[in-house]
Amino acid sequence: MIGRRLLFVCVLGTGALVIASFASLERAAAADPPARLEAVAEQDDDGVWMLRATLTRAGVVQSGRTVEFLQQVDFFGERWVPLGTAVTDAAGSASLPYSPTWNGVQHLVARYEADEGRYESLPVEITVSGAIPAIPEEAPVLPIMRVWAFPVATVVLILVWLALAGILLGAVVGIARSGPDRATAESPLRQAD
Amino acid sequence: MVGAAAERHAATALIDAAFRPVRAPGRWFWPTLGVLVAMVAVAMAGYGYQLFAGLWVAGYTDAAFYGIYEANLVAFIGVSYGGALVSAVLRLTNAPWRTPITRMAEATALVSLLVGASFAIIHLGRPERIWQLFLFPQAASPIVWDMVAIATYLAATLIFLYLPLIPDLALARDRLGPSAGRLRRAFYRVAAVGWGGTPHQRRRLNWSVGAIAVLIIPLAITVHSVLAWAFSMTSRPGWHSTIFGPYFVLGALYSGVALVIVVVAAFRRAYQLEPYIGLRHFVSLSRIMAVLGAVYLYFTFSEMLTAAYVRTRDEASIVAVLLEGSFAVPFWVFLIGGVLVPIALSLAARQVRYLVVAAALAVVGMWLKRLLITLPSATVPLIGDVWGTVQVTWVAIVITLGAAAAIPLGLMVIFRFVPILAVDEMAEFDAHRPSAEPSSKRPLRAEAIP
Repeated sequence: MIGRRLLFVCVLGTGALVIASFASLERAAAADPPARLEAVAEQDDDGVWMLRATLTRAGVVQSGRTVEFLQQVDFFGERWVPLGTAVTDAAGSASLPYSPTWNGVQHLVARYEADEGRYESLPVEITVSGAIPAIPEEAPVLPIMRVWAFPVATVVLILVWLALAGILLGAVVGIARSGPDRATAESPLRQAD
Repeated sequence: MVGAAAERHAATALIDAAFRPVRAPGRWFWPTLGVLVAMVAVAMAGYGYQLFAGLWVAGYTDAAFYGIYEANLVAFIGVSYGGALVSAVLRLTNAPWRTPITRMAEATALVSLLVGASFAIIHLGRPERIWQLFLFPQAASPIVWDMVAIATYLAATLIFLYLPLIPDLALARDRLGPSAGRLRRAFYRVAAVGWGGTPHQRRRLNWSVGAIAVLIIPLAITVHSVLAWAFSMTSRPGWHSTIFGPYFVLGALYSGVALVIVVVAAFRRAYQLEPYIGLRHFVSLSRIMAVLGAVYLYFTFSEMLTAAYVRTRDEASIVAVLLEGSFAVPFWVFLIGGVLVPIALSLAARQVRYLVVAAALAVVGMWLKRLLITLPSATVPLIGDVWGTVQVTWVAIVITLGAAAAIPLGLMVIFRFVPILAVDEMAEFDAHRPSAEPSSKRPLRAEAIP
């Protein structure tokens, strides 16, 4: 009799726990739906690109969140290089001006680090032309540099080494030739105890 | 008769003082040497680990490709130029108070140059390839010219240290008995090249020392400018500056004089050289340091003003991070603690300890300044707006501390073999003083400034 009642209580308790777990999971899901990040890139008349990302959760815009923009590069291997961060405004939109330093097809993404994990937009492809290079393009070498700089520097260097050798050898040979046998006895150092 | 006896007594005392490190360096010598050797050994172990693991263990990344090692390279080589230039200028101007300190200044120049030049290899990711720089040099590369310049300057520094040493090496040859050991006596005999102090030898030596002193000044200026141009010939914001050559030379002089003050103070205390190196030597050096510091301050202001006023994006970003950004704290520490305070102390203080504190502040401050020259420009982003970060790792710290320890270590070793004071020059200078001058004012004695 006691065993049946105990079994009944256990089944009832387990059922209640299962129902409660499902309810809490649903509540959690309702409170924190997955975020969605959409990125676009637009170019203004001055050639500056504006990167924009809109952050939403279940269709509701998320303001005051920090979004990071990254660019795919393949210098020393393929990887994502951060371009900068921006905070979403009341419309859930984060904007970052971007001045490309090289021309060609570039891939950009927006990234949002949430408590539950990382969200990333689909890559945005842009085609850049007229970029201002970070390292200015090389101008042709001036003839005076190309023709004269290296020979003049080399001649000066050789003269310096010859002067150094001359000074050292002149002193050593000059001193060695006159020898210590003609040393003066006037110096107090030689008379010191 | 009494005058001659006093002269002989003074000469004996001078020789005893100058040869003290050679004969009996004192009880503190071996423990200090042990500590310094241990620091260098730890640094070498750190470098071994870096060789095995790669440059990332020193905090280098692709977004921070230069770091503490480049700052060390510039700082250590800089103090070397300072030591050599101070000695050369004082020789050429025949400054009467120079004789007791020139040996230490010249030795400091040599040792710090060797330590500084080693960072040219330490900061390489693949040092085993350095031989390719010699076999396949690119004439257009500033690095190649930098290497050539450092090698030339090293040769000049060695000659600059060696030539004035010849009479003192002869003194060691004549006065150090069998206790010096056979090898060491052979070294003195060969290195003294038969010096006997004849008028002909002296004329020859004086001409050669004068010539190398003349040559080493433009050489040091040119060589440090070449080091500066290795930076300014790049297009990195903050480095691409026409002022960098003289700016580096000035910084080298300022920190070099400061290091000479610290070194002279340390060895003066360690080897009881107070009768020969007095307050007036420190006051004179400190005044030189203060003037150089003031000019360096002007150069710093000039560089920052032009960069900040034009406001090109990249240059302005460097100025911004220095004045109020991520590098603001070290920048203001450098400016106040490394320049303004040392200048004020150098001009106002009349006690050796305060002058030494001022010099030590200048040395540390100028090392900080070299970090501030290197790091912001090495971490400024060329793609996007995210700055690279330099990690200060234990490997970089132990290697830097080991390099700093190598300077006193090298000096202690040098002065175990050669006299710490330029004995012959001091005696020679004393002999040519006007005889009417009271003997108490002679330079063999270092009188204090009232």
